Amino acid sequence: MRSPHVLIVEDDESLGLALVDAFERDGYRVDHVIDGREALERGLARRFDLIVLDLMLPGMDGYEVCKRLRAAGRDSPILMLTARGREEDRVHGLDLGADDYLCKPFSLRELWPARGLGCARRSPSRRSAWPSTASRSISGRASFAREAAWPS
Amino acid sequence: MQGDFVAAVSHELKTPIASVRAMAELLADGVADDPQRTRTYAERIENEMTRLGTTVRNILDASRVEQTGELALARVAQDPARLVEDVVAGVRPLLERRGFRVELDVQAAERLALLDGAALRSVLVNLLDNAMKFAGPGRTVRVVGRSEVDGRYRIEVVDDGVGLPPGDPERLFRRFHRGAGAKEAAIPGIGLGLFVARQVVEAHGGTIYAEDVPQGGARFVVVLPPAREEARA
Repeated sequence: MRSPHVLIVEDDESLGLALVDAFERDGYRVDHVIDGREALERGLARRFDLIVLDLMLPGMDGYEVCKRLRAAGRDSPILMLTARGREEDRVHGLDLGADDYLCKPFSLRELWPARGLGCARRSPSRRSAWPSTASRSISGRASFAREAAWPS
Repeated sequence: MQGDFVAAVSHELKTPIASVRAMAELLADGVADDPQRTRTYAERIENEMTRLGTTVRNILDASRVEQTGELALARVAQDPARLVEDVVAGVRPLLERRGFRVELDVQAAERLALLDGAALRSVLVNLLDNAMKFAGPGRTVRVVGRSEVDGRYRIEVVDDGVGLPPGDPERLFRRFHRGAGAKEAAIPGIGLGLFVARQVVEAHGGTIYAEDVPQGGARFVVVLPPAREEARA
């Protein structure tokens, strides 16, 4: 079984690094881009098991990336990250086809696995590589990769 | 403008908080068992807190100016050269980690100046921060300090980047002004750094301005009056 493949779209250097580490520590494959146009290209080129998408990006904002991916029929689950917390902003993101929405400053533990995995599982395609059961290791880290015996 | 400002402030406050929180969680989970990783996280947390501190200070200073029309300064007579050296020593690691070369060419002032150290520090940090944001990595930032013949002290922050955006450099100092293309390029900032810098420098009886360097790059100049002359004024 293939290991889940995650696309992180976050232009902030430090937050990007932390997000990449959070997924890589659990043995998942991670692509990281810092530009909206690059995110769109990657998202059009292949399906990801999860796209973590920041909104305020150089090149093209996250709303536009999401809109264009959905318009092109791409169904990768999308979890939006934003500093804007107003109701209408959240609704706007979901209207454009995002699966879930997390407001900064979020807890990494909330992002992954709680919301990220929920997002992936709600995805309509059912082609997701995520395991159907989830538990946490004693240290509190997600341990899906090891349980499912995927290459890490 | 107001909506843009609120969005920019939200972003500038919440993103570093999110970064610091995420890195602290990774450290707490023992992810960074590797000492090099631990060091990277610690350095980044330090960077993010510096950035956050500058942003918060700019917001508070700007709102103080808006409410009272002036900044309350606590000034003591000191050598501005020492202050410049301290600031550069403090931010040098951050600049170098981001791929900048830093050159410091500062001579002791011939006369002391009455300075609010914390306020002037933030002016210089703002100027260096701007150089990082707009000049781009791989550039050299040069900080020069010299006494002028009339006893004033002149501080220059010069980079060899793309230079100032076209148009009147004075507008860079307006409140909420963002650098050309800054929003589109998602360059962090809230448009208060230079506005506050000018308030601080003028409250010291000094001047601050920006100009292009003919060979390429931008130069920001702060000129501060000496203590005695200012006391007479």
